[in-house]
Parts: sequence; C-alpha cells; structure tokens
Amino acid sequence: MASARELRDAVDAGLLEAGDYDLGDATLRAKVLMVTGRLIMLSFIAVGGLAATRSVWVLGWTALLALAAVPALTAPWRPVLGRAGRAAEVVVAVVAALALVPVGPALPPHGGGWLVLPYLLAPVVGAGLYKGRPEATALVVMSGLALAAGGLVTGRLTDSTYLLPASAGLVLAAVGAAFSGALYRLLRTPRRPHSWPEATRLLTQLRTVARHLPGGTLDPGGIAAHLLDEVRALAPVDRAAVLGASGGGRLVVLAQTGADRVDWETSLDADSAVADAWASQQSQVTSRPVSRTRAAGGTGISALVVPLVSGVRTIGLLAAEADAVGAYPPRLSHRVTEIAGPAALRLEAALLFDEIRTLATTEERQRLAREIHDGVAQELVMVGYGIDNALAQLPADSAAAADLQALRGEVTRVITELRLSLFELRSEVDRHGGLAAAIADYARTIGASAGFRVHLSLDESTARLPAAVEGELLRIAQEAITNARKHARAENLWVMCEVDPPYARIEVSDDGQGIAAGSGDGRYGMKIMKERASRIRGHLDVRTRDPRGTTVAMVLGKAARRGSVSAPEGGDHRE
Amino acid sequence: MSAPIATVPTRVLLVDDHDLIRKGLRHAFERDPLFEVVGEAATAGDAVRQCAALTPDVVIMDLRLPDGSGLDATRQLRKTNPTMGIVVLTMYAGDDQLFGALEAGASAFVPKSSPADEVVAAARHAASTPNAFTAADLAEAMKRRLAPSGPQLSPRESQVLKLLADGMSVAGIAKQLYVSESTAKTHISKLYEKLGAANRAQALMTALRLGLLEAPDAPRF
Repeated sequence: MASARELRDAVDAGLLEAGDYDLGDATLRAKVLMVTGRLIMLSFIAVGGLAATRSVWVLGWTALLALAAVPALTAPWRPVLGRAGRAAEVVVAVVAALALVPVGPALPPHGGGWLVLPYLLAPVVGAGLYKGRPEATALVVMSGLALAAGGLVTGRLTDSTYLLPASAGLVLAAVGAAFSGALYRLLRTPRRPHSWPEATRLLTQLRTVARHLPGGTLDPGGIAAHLLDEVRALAPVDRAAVLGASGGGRLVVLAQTGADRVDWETSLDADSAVADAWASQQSQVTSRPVSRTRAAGGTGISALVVPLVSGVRTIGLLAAEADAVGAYPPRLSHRVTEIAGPAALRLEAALLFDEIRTLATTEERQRLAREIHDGVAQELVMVGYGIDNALAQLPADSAAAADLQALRGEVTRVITELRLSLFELRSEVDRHGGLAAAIADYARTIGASAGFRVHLSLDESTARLPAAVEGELLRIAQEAITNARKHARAENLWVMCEVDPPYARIEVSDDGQGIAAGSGDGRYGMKIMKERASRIRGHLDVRTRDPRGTTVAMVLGKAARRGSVSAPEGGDHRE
Repeated sequence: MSAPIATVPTRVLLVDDHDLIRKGLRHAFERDPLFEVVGEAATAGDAVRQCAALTPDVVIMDLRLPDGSGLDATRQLRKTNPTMGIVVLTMYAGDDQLFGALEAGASAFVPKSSPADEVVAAARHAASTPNAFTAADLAEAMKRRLAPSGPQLSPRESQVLKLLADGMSVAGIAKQLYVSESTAKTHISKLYEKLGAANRAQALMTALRLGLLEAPDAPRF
C-alpha cells in the first residue's frame, strides 16, 4: 500500500508516467469502489431513513452528505483537499445522526436516524486507501470525539439508547480502517503481476540476453535485417531498408537489402513519403521512389513506407521499393504493417539497450579518466619532480646522476603513456564532426607524440552511421593505432576511413615490425577489437602488410555502389 | 613586461591541487636564485584571490582544479593583469588543450610529463615576454590544425571535380574514368552533397573557396 502511494506521488511529481506501472488499474478500481460505495450508502440512508423516520429531513442530510463527498471523490490523494473532504464527511455524518435522532427513548421510527452512521465507513476506508492507516485511525478517533461531544451537548452521553448505536457505528468505522489495507491489496489487479517484480523480471531477462552478446538478440542491425527478411517473404521487394532516427532530423540506415547499394531518402524535412510516414504514423504507398538512386531502365516504381511505431513514438521506418507499378495493393501493405508492429517493439528494446550501454560505457570511461588523472598520474608527476630535485643536488658527471637521468626518462615516458591513455578515454565521436574527423584527430595526436608520419585518407558521406556503431568503430581504430604505436616501431601510419552508411571501412596500416614479431592474435587488444567488431556485425581482418608492417581492416556492411552492375552478396571490394 | 633584474627575483605563485606537486615545483624554483615562490593555491578561486593580493610576476596554473577549470582562471587573470606571466600545466594530451591555453591568454603551455626545469624555463620566458605564447609542440600543432578540416574528397571525387571544372559532360567524365554513366552520376551527386552544392556552378565555387581547386586565372604551366 505504501509503495503504491509513493508511486502515486511520483506520478504526480511527473517522475513517472502512470502507464509505467499497473497502478493505473488499481487507482481506477479504488475510485470505482469509492463512488459506488458512497452511492449505495447514500441511497440506503435516503430510502431506509425515509422509511424509518418518515421525515423529509433525511433527504436534506443525504444531499448534504453527497455534497461533502465531492472533494473526497474528485481529488482523494490531495494532501489538503482530499483530507478536508473526508473530515467534512465525518462531521456531516455525525451531525446528521445527532440531528435525526431525537433526545429521549429512541425507538423506531426515530432510531432510523442511526442509519446515517455506517456512512462513516466511506471517508475512513477512503483515507485508508489513499493516505494510509494513520489518517483512517485519525478519522475514527475524530468521529468518536464528535459523537461523544454531541452526546455531552445533548445530555444523553450515558444513555444506553445513545451509547450503543453510537459505539456500533464507531466499531464499524474502526473495522473499516483496519481492513482498508487488505482491501487495497484485493483491489490491485491479481491478473497482472506487480510492477516491481515485473521490472525485475525484465531486467533479469535483459541481463541474460546481454550476457550472450556479442551477436545477441538485442542488436538493432540484426532485428532490422530480420524484419527485412520477413517483408521479403511477404511482398515483392527489389530494395528495402530499415531506417532509424538519429539527431538533427535525419535518419540512419540500420539494415538494407537489395542487389545494389542504395541511397535512401534520410531527410525528414523533405516533402516525401518518408517524411509523411514519419509524421503521420501511417503507411504510405507512392509511385515516387524513396531512394535517391533510381533503377536503371525502370519503367515504374512502387514504394511502400511503413512507420515503426512503439507506443506513441515513431522509432523508425521500413522502406521498400519494387520496380513495378502497383506492387503494393492495400491488402499487402496492410499485412506488411501488421508484421512491422512487433518488430518495432523489438527494435525499440534493442535501441534502448544500445543507448543504455553507450551511456554506461561513456560514463565509465570518463570516470576512469578522472581517476587516472587525479590519482596515479599526478603521483607519477610528483615522483618525476622529486627525481629532478635529487638530480639538481648531485654533481652532473656522477654515475648516480646518469642513473637518475635514465630513471627520469622512464618516468617521463610513463607519464606520456598515461596522457595518451587519458586522451583515448576521453575522445568521443562528436555529434557534428563525424567519425572520420574523430579518427583523424586521434591519429594526428598519437602520430605527433609517437613520432611517426600519419597519412590520412578520409571519405565520409554526409549520412551518418548509428551512434553506437560510430562509437565502436572509433574504439577499434584507436586500438589499432595504439597497437601500431606501442608494438610496431613504425615510421609511417596510414589511416583509411571510408564511411558510406550502412557501409564503412576503416583500415589502419603501419610499416613496423609486423604481427609475427609480436604475440599477434592472442593479444588482449586484438581480442577486444574482435569483440567490438562482432558486436556491430562487422568483419575484422588483421594481416601482414606488404612489404612490411601490419594492416588492420574493419569492414561493415557491403560496399557495392555501382549503377546497374549487381555485386555479390557480402562483397567488400571497391574500385 | 620588463626583464627581471638579477637583484629583484621573479615572484611566482603556484596553483595545483596536489600538495606534493606544488612542493616539487617549489624546490625547482628555489634552486634558481632568480625566482621566489610567494604563494601557493589549491583552487581556482584561491588562485584569483592570491593573485590580486600578491601580484606575482608569474603564475603556474594547473588546468584541472577542484572548483573549476584553470583555463577560466587564466582568462580571468589575463583580463585584469595584461602583463602577468601565466604558465599552463596540464596532464591532458591533445591539441584542444594547447589551443585552449593560447586562446585563454596563457604565456606558455607545459605538459606535466616534462621535467621541472622546463616549467622553470617556461616561467622565465613568461616573465620576460608574457604575451608571446610558447609550447614545445606548437609548430606541429599549428600544422595539424591547418590540415584540411573541410569536406574530404576521395581521390576519385577529386578527379571528378577537376573534370567538372574542365567543363566536361557526365558522359565525358564517365568515358574518361572508364566507368558507367550512372557510376559517374553517383560520384557527381556525392561530390555535390559533400560540397553542399545543388549544381555544377555552386560546386565549383565552393571547391575554389575551400582551396580544392586552383583558380582559373592561376598560372597553369
């Protein structure tokens, strides 16, 4: 009960949406119970009281009680209005009982006035449901005091004809207060599990799935590709893609299918079926192409754009094109829309998971960087300055001075390593700069400190890859560049970066001593690079460079982008 | 502005949140009779206050301080003390830090990996010429910064751009490059996209402005 109230407060404070928990149901049931309970009691008082007392006053008091019930019914959980409403009900009920039952031996028909007292149940149970047992108890005590005061004023407090019915009413109210908690638990939907166990269950599931990454089921690319397969089995498709949202009113291609690489319409500002489907959340069928490269010699095109909607939000689009006129009749597009629904939910889960993971790792990297910066790095600087100080006190030509000088050189080298690690930990793909710029920036800085020449070849289209993918690609490039710096003793570093979503190719080559000289594949860095590559469904290839050195190549998606020539599936060669 | 005279030592304020680092630097400065450490501060706020009270000739400023960035403190100090020497010390690598120090008005930039003597040397420079920025890696960093940061064309796109500038048709370009016409069109549309151009004239103007093409009146032989 308490947790439900806390949730209610959180909902009021805007922290949660009511839909997040099944408490929407519970509060609705409580409200229904309170309204019907009061209605029944009021009609009972009106009819029974009227029959018993034959006094029209009963109707007046009933109306007054109904009026007093308004605040407690409309805003039951408000701290002031709800409480005041319930207190008012108690007062009106007690006063009504006192007024309807005349002083003296209260025999029927006059005892009919006592029928008002059971109404005390309504405010007391309401208080228990919405505010907890303390308030319910307070209301019972308040009714007791009011009844006692009324008895005292009318001089019949010790009269058993007064005392008995009054105590009976009080006991009834007290029972109501005691059982309002159980009542609440009864009200809560027994069919649906409670929100916290439910959340725990989901998180446990998520953990299980996450443990099976990389290549697990919570991979947006995989889910998008699966959706495309489903659509292809259902409808004629020459080209299709799943597009997801990215910053700045643009879309990113999550997966695509077709013989050719295709440029999809990725702007949401343009006047196109893509933008319409996004905004209206309705499937669009059009004869205008939604990709920017049109098929060679095509006589007509049909395009279908289905929004992937989860809840009220559009999270992506499914775009399909066929080189035929009228390929998507309403019945077919309806069926495609039907299979897009569950896929949208899966896709959103995967995207959310990606986002959470990115956030968590970014935060952890920043924390790690801060810790190194403030801790071991500063301590090494102190050691370095200490050595400088000792050196200054030794004669310059002594053997000890030479040793210290060498030690100082080592300390300087280690601090430089740490500075570069910090740089690596802190560098991110800028939302505006793009992946190639981030990789180039890193390569230049590392090249400057390691003393090798950096040759960059950057070819980045204006379309972007999903942010999580860009992050992984940057880390892979960083690892490859760091390997070249640490192990290869190279003179030249070539960084080739080609981004043409969803295709990307990053190649880092050096002319150092090659992988054969080092321990090669077993190296920790290699393992992490491979893991990162498989997480984004890419292919990592490490090979010896001719005539010497190493090449690390990372390829994502397939490359062919040639007018009418179709490329083999998975082929990654380019001109 | 005036060079320190042998009899009047240069007065130094050390700003770093680590005691032992300040101590190490203090020793380094005390070895040199031309310097006198007049104060130490562990926070940016304290640094600004002590500067106002002590008016040192040179401030050694760490970039990351518990209550804010040393860069902001540098900027603030530079505004009120145009001739004070400010040496920025940092653990962070990357050109952004170096150029950040330059823009904030520092006199010198020294990484924390450098020996203490280099900090002293930078302080000497800062005291004599506080407004001439110096850093070990400055020239290289400038070169890196001057490297093209605009759109990066692939070799094929540069070829296409030159052919476009020569006034060739799409068919001509395709023939010249031994590719199909639609591939040439793809290259051209990608080139336009990178240059933010809608047509050939705009693309060529942008390319000229960015230095991707030689101006037509430049000598061609």
